Amino acid sequence: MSSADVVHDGPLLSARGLSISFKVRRGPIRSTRVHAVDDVSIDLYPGETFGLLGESGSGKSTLGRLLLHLTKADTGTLTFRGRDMWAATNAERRRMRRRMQMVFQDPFSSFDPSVNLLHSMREPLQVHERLSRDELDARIAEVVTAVGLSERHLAQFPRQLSGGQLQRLAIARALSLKPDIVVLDEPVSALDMSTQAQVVNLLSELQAAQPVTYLFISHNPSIVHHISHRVGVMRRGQLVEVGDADQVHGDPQHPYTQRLFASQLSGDPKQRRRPVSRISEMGVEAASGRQPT
Amino acid sequence: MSRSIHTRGIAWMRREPLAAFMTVFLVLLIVAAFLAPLLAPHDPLQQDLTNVLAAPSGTHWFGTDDLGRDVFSRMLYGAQVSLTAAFLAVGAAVLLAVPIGLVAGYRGGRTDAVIMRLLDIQLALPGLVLVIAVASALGGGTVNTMLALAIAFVPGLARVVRGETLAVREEPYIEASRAIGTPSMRILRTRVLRNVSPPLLVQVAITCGQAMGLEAALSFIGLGAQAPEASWGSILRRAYDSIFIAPAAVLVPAAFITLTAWAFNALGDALGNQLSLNGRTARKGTRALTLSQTTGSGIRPQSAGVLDVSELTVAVDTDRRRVLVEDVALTVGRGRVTGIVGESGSGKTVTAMTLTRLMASPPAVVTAGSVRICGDEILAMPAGQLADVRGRVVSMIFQNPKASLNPALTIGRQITEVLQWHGAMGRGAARAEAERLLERVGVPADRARAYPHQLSGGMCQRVMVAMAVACRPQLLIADEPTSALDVTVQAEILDLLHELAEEGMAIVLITHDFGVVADICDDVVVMYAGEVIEQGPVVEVLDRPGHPYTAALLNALPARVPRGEPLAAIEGRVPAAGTRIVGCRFAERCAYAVDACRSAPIPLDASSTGDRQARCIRSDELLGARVLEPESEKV
Repeated sequence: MSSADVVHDGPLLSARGLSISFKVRRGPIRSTRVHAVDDVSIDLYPGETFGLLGESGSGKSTLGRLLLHLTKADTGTLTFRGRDMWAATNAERRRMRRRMQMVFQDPFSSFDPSVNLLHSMREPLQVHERLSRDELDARIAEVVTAVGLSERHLAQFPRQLSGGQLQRLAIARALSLKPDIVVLDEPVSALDMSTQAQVVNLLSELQAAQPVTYLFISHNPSIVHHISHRVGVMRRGQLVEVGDADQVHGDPQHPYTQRLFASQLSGDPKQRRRPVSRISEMGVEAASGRQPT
Repeated sequence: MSRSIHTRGIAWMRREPLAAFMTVFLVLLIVAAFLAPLLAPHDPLQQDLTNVLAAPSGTHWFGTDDLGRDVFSRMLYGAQVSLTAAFLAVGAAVLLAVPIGLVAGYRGGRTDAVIMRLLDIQLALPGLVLVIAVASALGGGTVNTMLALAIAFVPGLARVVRGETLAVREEPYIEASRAIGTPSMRILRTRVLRNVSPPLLVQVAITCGQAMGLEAALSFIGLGAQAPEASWGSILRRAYDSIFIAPAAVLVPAAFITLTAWAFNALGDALGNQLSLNGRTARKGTRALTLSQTTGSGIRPQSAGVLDVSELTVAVDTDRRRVLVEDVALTVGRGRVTGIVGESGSGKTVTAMTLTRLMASPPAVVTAGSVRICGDEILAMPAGQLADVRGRVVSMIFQNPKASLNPALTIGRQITEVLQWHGAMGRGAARAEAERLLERVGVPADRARAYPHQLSGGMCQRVMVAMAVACRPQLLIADEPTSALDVTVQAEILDLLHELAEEGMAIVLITHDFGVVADICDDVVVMYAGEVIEQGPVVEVLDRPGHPYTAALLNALPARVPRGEPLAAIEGRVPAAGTRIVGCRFAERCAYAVDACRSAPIPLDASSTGDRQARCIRSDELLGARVLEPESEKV
């Protein structure tokens, strides 16, 4: 067993004081630094779903990439199973890498358009495991069946499947290495309503069958609340609130979180959201909802 | 996929006859050059000093040269030399340029900067001079000429590879490979290279054309092929030497060099066109959609609605049986908000675009129905009148506000133009009104001088709303107005739309999100596969949906389902637009479908409860058994 496989009590992934800034050009000469992620500390525990909620530009996707070490942070520490990721040797890092996978927002561009899906699905196993063609294809058939698709779909090209089917395959590809952590970056935002539900349910089923930690990144408060055990809210690169999903949803502490959940659509015409202007003028408690005419 | 290579080839020849002709020419030329020993009627080196500089004849098709050698045979052998030289030069250049371009593009940063500046230096030198210098330094001969050419071609090809790599590198599938942990070399080899090859191929074809020309130029000045071996360039040179005796002799090699270079360019252009065509939909018309035939429904019910749509059916022009939207009817009154909700492929956007005749025609054609806005029939309206109605009586806002605004004009100017055009206002008055409108939608008036790129998505959507309502239209059609916006901004825009409705504007809101419908709509029309499957007051439909599809969609809303419990997922997918289905279009995915659902078309019937209509024969039965009620209501 390698060091990455040793069972470790406590958090699976632990980040302390992660920061990264990018240079943004404001003109031909002037440029400013934007703190995409600003002093974020976060712990992810085995088997939990951590919902990372934030609006566009809040730095939530960048944080996801920092945690997977796809982008290197300017400062801060990152430990995986108690092992410092930045101090790791390349070989160690590769072993860690296979334990962390990622799923992206747009299923259509998540797969190489020039090859069939079987070719793309083989990639993780080919890179990380030495398997014969038959073993390889058997493993792929297994994960593809687990997400409710069949080998028939693998002979096709990305453009021939629907968004929902491709997103299932993207999840299957991420899970084929039996990772400890999967970062899901807006995995259902590009999907239709009914397909969204399929994918959300699938993620829960897969987690029940195989203990895996999800970092579920989304801008949608209702979905994050629905799927997550714990929720973190990001704003302007900072993690402004972290807590149990029901607690953050039911009793948000930070003013921004309050505004975010107050803006959320209830889906019930009898319990409409209060107009935003009234929220900011009168505070959340005093405002009353609109009634349909 | 289904079309054979044969039919696709014919279609291509029709579309690009020049490229097709040139390709055939190139293929014949290459085959002929390869088979030169078999095809050549004479030995190309066989001299006949009794018959020098002869004119073309039966025995010597292209005549003879100054040593009496057969020019046709010499051209065939020369083609072998010239083409081989060109192909090898370009091949060597590709072998050098691809790794350089891939590394520069993929690594980026300093690596890229250094490589590109070095290539820039080489590009700054005149190409032919460089080739001559290198070829002379290496000494003449075909191989050295090829090397010189290869070096000259590297910067151009490497730049193409780098540019494409830069674009491909940003694709999510590359990031997916990185997230998997695939080593960079493997990503470059299996993913990037494959996806940069098509544009590279175009450049290779064009470079081959250049290579033919340059090789001829080098041979002409004596650097290329050395006697007795002859390329087209050296044949041209010999003919040129005798130009005062037999001026026509230069025409043969000159014509072939030109034609071949041209053929490679035409081939490259055709490949390029093919690439940019891929992934694009078929022809789109520019005509405004009109009613192709009047429906004989006789007397239309008089309604007080701002918008009255009845029996609206839109089909594909080439195949009228492919119906995109069938028999849509709806009425929107003053101050009312009607939501048209559906998934992709439901026909909601086709319906919305047809309301203002913005659907491209072809391919879409209205085969039946009527759209009346404030009593005027939109579908039969002359173009001039339609242009006046759009913006003044009805206006639209779209999903992507930034793309809908003109990036080159300030937002104030864009609103002012609308006011001047439709409102016949003077410039000063229009400007003042534009500022008032911006304030009205929550944009500070001093932002009127801002350009769209200086504003956030939410601000741009406010500007779109300001433009849309500038001439106080009766009806606003909003196509997914908040789908691209953040939750807090979405709430602000929905509030704005709600206020406009309260002031009396009729609004049609196209959305895929029942949350938006529940938030501001008074009525809702649920569409599936081109049909309305349920419609009625929002409170009624969302409380007690009468169609299993509506019920399932509502139970798929995370906000309506207790945390931790599975959402209602609808298995399968929406049928492709235009698919013919007898009976209920949702039956394939419906948990409650019975045989009767599939045997005959299902009418949109009034349910026994209230004002709502559902297209489901089991609606009353399922409602009675309370199986369709939302999870949250059952408790």
